Amino acid sequence: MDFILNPFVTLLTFFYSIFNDMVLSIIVFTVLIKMLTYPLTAQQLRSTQKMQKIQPEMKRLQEKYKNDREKLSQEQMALYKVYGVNPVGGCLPLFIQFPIFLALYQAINYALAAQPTQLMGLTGRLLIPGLDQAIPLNPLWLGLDLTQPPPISAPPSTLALIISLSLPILTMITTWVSFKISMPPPQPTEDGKPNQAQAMSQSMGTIMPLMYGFFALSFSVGLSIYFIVSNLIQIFQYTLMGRANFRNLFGRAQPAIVTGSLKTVTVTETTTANGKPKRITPVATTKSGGGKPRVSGNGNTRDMISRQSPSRPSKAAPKPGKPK
Amino acid sequence: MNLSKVRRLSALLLVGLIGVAAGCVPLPADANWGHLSIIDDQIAISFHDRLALISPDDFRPVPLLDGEGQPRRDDQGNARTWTLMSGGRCIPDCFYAAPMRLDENTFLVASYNKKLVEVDIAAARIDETRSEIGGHIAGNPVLTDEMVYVPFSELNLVALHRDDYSVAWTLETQRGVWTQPLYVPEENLLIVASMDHFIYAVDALTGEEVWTVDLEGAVGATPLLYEGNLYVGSFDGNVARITLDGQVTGMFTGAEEWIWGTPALATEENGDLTLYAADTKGFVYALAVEEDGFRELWRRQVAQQAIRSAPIVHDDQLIIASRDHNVYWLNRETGDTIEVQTAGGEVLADMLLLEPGDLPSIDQSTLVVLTMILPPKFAVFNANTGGELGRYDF
Repeated sequence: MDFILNPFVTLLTFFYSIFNDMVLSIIVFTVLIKMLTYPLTAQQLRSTQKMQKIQPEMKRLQEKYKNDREKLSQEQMALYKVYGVNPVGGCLPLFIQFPIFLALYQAINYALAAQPTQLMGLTGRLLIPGLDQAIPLNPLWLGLDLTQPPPISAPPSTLALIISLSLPILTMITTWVSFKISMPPPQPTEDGKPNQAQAMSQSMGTIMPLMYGFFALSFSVGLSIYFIVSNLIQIFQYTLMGRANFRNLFGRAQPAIVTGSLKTVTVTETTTANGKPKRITPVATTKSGGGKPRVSGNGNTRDMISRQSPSRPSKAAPKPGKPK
Repeated sequence: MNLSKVRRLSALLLVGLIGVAAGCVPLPADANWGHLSIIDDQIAISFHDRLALISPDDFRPVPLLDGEGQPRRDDQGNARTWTLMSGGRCIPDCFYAAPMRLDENTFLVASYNKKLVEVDIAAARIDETRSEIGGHIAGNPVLTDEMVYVPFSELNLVALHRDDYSVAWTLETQRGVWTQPLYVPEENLLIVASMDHFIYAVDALTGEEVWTVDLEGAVGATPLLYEGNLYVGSFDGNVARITLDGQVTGMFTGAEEWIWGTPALATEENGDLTLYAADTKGFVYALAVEEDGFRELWRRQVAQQAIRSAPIVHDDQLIIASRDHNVYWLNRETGDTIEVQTAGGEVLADMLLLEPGDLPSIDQSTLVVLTMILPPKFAVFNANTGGELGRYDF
């Protein structure tokens, strides 16, 4: 972790040497890191929202193939392929960001070392000559020690008490808002119950703010400031991307919007001589009239309804092959 | 397992990992390292949750005896030793400072947890506690006939009246004072080295500032006083020589990293002075002390990790202990390593050198080294040969 941690510690100390203010240094530092990780954040958000959009169809497939896991997996993979969804696309950025988050957390703790043994851990980590003159960094801010948890039980002043109480609350609120607006609008389902992804989102939307609120109470004030600033920047980024769903804050589901014609996706399954599936090829066709799909290949046909983007003109589907 | 479940589990795992990782920051278990000292012909060791008096006969805690010379026993009937133990995880007390003899029957000990405690010597029990002294106490206080000078790790140093612990005066600093102040009774001066880069010299009775020197780097160790000059290192990689009236008369610059420990001085046969300092990159420096400053004789990277404890000059050898768990014996003239021994844990506390005659049962030069491992342990070596004499817990 040193290859991430040491630059982070150096940066944080460098900003402090300029601003001579730890809180401002944490803010600037957080802004910089969020800007650098913005591509990952954007990718994660796009992937999450795509996954949410195909959830109705996913649920339908799960119902249809609940007794055949292998076919279910095949159908799901085909669906992902058609809609260009990477099933781990939302996870991978998270896991890449995880060591960054960990390094950030450690960097703040190392830079704000308040005890001799903590400061010993800082030796050798400053990569810019001359930064040693900034050590140790001043951990005090408005009567609070940035290296300590908020002193709710024994605040040094009224202002410190107000800040101590505000930090965990702000952490929870900003975490909740950031999470909520990053989710696509909840889609109406056939049975009115939330689908799997929605259910998971609801759980995460409760657990994450509580967890971060607990962190804010238990860990250093400096870390709470980082959490709050990080969440605010995230909210700003989502808004800038045009993907902030503020309606989610009020729990309103978006009505289903269908534009253009429905596109039927026919999956042609070619089989081997012994009847085992050989290849799945999704083929898009346009459904019309009674809407009955054309049968192709060996008669195995599955229909998937997609909502056609108004920006994409419908294409005439290639004729399926004659059944053998 | 379908992919939705995979994603759900991955997300939950990530949340769990974040929670675990956030709680698993590798912060040290102890706020500070311990201290070794001699008091009442015993070796006093303070570290973590305990303070013990060690007999130099066998390096075991001294047995506690009653007025009739019989062993004192605890509630379970076990023979008690002179070990003052707080609760686990340093609650309510953490002892990193040396005990000071307050009177015939009492030690005064600083607890890191913002307290001064008075300890009954005969019973090895806390008599009285002065709480909320003003801050965490990382450095050793100083006890004089009239005052107790207590440095705080957050900010400031306070002078308390010895009789009632009322505050006489406060020296305000911009950062903490992590080391023992230096009391110079001949000059009525108290020399305070602060992490705010300054060396303060104040009137020991009134606290009035006499002079200050900015070393441009944090100062984490007590200056060495020799023949009217102070020798002190800083985190800026410098070693300074300062007269007792505040004049900087010599400065060595260019150490590889922070100089955290007190330097050591050796007087050569021709009367020349050689100063030894070590830094947190594992380098040791030998400097000739000259009229106009310092001249580097040699530098060696002796250890692979930080050297915090003060070097010890022992005849023609220099003894160094490092965070890399090792104790090194060096040739003072060349800096070559003669012997290496492992102490069994990180060594950050100053070592204790016992020469024959220092204590009744010490008949050879003996080196005591305190490590950072828990439960607390120390190692004992023959200071001449580097041979290990034993490892002990307390």
